[in-house]
Amino acid sequence: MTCNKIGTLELTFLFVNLICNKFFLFAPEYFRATAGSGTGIMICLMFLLMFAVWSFYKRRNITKTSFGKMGSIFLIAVFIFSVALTLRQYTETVKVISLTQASLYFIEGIFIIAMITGAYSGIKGICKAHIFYAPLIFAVMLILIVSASGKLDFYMLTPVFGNGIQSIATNALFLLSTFLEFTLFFTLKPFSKDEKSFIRAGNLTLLISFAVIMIITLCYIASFSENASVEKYPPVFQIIRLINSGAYFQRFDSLFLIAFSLSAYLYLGAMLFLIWHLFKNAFEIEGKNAVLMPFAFIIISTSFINALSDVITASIKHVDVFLWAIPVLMPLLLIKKGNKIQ
Amino acid sequence: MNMDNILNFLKNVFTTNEEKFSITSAEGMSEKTSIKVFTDMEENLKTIKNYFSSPLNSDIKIREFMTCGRKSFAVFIENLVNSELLNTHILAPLILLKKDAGSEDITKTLIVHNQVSTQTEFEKILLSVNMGDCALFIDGFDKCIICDVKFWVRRGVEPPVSEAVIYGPHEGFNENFKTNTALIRKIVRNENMICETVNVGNVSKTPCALIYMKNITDENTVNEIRHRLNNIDSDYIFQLGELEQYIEDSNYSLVPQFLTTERPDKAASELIEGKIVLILQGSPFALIAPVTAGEFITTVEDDYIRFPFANLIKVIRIIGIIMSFLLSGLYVATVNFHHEMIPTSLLFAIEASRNAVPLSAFGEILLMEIAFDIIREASIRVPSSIGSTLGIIGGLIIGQAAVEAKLVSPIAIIIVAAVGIGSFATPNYGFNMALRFSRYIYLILGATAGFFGITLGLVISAYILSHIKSLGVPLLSGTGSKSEDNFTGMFFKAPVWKREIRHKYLHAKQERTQAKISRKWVEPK
Amino acid sequence: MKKLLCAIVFCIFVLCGCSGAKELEELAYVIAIGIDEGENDKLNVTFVTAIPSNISSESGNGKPVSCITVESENVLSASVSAGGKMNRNIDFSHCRLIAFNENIAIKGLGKFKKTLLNEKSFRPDTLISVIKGKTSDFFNNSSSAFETNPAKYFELMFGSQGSKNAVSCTIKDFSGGNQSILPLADKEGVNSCVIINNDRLAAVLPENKVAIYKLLSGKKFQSYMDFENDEAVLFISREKAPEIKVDTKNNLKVTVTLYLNGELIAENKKLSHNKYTENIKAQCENFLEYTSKELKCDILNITRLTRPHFFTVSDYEKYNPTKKYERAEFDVKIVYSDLKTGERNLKL
Repeated sequence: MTCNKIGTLELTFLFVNLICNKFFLFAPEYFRATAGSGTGIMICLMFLLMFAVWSFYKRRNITKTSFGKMGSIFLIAVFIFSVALTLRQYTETVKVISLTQASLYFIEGIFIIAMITGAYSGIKGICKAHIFYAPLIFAVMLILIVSASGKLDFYMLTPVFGNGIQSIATNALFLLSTFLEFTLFFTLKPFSKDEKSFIRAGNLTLLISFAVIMIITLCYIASFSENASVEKYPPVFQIIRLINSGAYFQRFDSLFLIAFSLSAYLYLGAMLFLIWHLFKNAFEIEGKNAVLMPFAFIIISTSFINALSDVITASIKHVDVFLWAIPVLMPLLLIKKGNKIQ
Repeated sequence: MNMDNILNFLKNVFTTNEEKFSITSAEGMSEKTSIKVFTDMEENLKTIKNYFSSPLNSDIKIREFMTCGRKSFAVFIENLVNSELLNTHILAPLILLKKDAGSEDITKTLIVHNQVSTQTEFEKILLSVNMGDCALFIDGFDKCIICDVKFWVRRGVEPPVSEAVIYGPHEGFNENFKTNTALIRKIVRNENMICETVNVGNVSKTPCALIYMKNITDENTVNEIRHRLNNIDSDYIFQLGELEQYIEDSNYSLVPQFLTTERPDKAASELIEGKIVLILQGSPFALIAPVTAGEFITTVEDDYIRFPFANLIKVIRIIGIIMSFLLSGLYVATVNFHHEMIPTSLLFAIEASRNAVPLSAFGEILLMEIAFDIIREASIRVPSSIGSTLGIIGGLIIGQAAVEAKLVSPIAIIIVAAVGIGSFATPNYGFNMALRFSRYIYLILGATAGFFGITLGLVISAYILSHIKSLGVPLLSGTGSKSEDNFTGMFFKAPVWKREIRHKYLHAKQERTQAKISRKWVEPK
Repeated sequence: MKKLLCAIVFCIFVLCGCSGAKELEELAYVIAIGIDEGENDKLNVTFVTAIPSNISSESGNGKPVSCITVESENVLSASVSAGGKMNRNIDFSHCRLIAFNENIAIKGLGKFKKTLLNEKSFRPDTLISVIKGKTSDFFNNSSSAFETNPAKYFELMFGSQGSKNAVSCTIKDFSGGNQSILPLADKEGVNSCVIINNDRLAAVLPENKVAIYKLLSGKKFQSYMDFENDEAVLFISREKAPEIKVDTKNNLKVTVTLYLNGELIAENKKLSHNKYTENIKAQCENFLEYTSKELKCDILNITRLTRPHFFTVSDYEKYNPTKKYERAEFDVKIVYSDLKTGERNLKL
């Protein structure tokens, strides 16, 4: 039935949220640490690379089982690890910025509720929730960031090449791991209305996320010098803290909490669903929600590991160096399989 | 507990209720179906008296008489029939005119009444008599003549109570099924309007009109609702509210899946849009399906006033609706978790006013919400002469007294009053109930985890809403990119000459409602 | 599914309760903090907390604030012991002012920077000032002057940009760079500013220099200037932000163009308009020379303007603009237009 098809905008916002979500966390800070004031150019370079990858793969024939069993298991392992890390980061961020008195388990519990209900509500629920809230989240965030722009200092964006051209080029490649979630975009092709809408959604996703990432990162770099920023707060939160408009709501920090938590809930639900979807397709499992809970339990128990915060820093150093290969090379599997089916 | 048990438990939790409880069919009037009308009048009389427990049942009247030299009797229920009609049009010719004729001839030549039919089965005869018809049995004939002489006690057509408008007709439905269908037909005035009658309830056989446009409405939708109406195995259904619960898609959803209206003009406009209208005997309103979320915040007046004002009013209404279910939760969240959001001077004012109040912010808002709902509930039941005063003055006095007794803070009263006013901005009663319910959920969420909890509620409600369907049409259709009626088309009104295309989700047989250029008088430049 | 959902939601909420929630009245809202020197390198921290019932009552009896002074090593630990004295938790989210004693500023404010940045409840736009004499005395004296809302009082006193002799400084400005300029107040109120260079008080700027600083830094400005011993009064306002151009070829060369609107209010002695602009120009150049050569302090943050002249950060650091600034050449141009209806843009 046509009911199972996803429209262009739904697909777009789903993946814009999946990609840009980490920019509400610490990604802008991380970008600045690698490229300094040259971040703008680095982002452009990254997107050019990603567009090249995307246009290389976009017209391939893709079916449900394209990733193959081994490929899927590898991807699932990577994503489970990354979602567990993100879940932990969310939890700690919320504890730092708002619910300072609450226990970590309580906050994580709420995230888990959102994650499991999201995954259970299936692709339809996830898409609807995204089309309602994702534009709202990005609109609110961008409006808030722009309204803080009176406090921006654009000289901070120069020298334009920051830490040097070589460092920008290599980091642009390594930071393609930002697009890790975009790999899953290919798995949703069977849901898409037709080839045209799929390709349009891909283009739009990359364009919108380019705009969002660019604005957030550059505004952050322009408003905080390195010694004025505080590591423990997410960059966007720091920008929004600068706003002070007299009238009724003096402070907008809490609006950040609203947008941030909405985005996080959507991300977790969608990721759990997509991981399970990948698994289901690879092993051709029928039945409604057969193995969803085990995946949820794996993610939850991984994120409860106490040493995880050390793992987060370690993974930024070592794992991300390799993760760029996934969005670039993983779709290769698709071509092989896809051609076979053709 | 081993793994199998856990799996079984989970399976149980996720199976729908209908699978678990299949309703056993009620033993109704099955024995009567086989009995046919006898040729012998005495036998018929005995059977009828037996069924109606005649002498015991005082309002069942059996009138015996002679016509054409045959023993005959008429059976009817006192006060359900128009006795003047019965006397002059049916009994008078039968008794006074002497003719020898068969039963066919009697209906053709003797009875001057306009609605006459013949029946052979007792089940149907009993049904007709119960409905207010008069049944004639004549010796020697194996048929019974049914004359429609219904005259039910009813009120006239009065202005709608809950959907009053300023700029539109002031007619409302009443409890009479035929009046209601007539009111709709009076507006539509088209032979393509089909008014099917389906009897619901095994025993009650309440007539239900299924109204749709033959040339517009999607056949699958009509078949679906007909299928649902025909497959209700319940003895008594008297009201549309009950019927709605039998035929809706998801029972546990807070949001209703049918639109209810008291207004024939609303029903008619939805009908020509390609929707289905249900009318049940005894209910002064109609059910409209399929419905999408946007329609719960629409009133019929939006179509009548010019479009900029309609949209302004809609925006205000949406603000009111958001206020009605979020405001109390947001207040508690702000006061308990996000102090920094409140402007300093307001913060001091709130704190000063809360100094002597013994309850927590959550407690006082919950208390006042419940008090407000009690006032609202009570004001429906108190006699109408003091009802309106109790509603407003009672609220004010209780609020004022509560503040002076330092039971609650004035700001709590303001919040609850704003919530109450917001909830009256909701045009649909069922939707209003849903908002009232969810208000408590958001209040708890706000008190538990602040904005962080409220957003959880928002996300989960989006997940739930996306699964609700109304007659197979998703409640949120029109909000995505897939359908061509876009988001703004769903919530906002275009000028009347621009409303050219019917909603896609209705799959209407005719897509257009008007020509591309409907204002032909506009001269092209 | 819905049953399971409800079960989970209610379990979590019932089990965890309302964690982290704080009622408004459980907290004491600090409006201002004063930091004085104490004995043995300790600090005397004064917390000015609001008494809401006195603030909002119309009769106006009772003090609107209470001041508590605590001796401690650090501001945050002081807040804990002050909270203990007041039987409430101290909350900084509505704090408007952090005032340092002059002696503390001379010793160095570096250790406060990280505290102010890292504590979440301090807003980045909280005002910072330096106070002559003991801050506790300052707060105790001024508390009688409070109107209904003491927070507003501090905001007006230290946050206003309009008047000639005051600048405002927030936590973000203060902790962002090595140089900052803070308002200096005594019992009468704010009347001058101090320059903080490398976390230490470097100089006190007299009133007329503050006006020049405001002109040069591009802050919103309008004021009256006296010339020739009150013979002439000129009303000056900023037409648009000043343009500052830097030349990084060899030595740093800074060209500042000021766009001013002016109106002669009182003129007892006929003077040519050039006289005023020359005067302002001389004062500006004087100020720039003074800050760069004498104080070695880039108070206008001019060095960052050299950033676009380089391709990479390493080039920029090699050039070392901070060192170069200390030997920089300055040139100030003034574009003056008379504020007159009809003849507004008449250049002199």
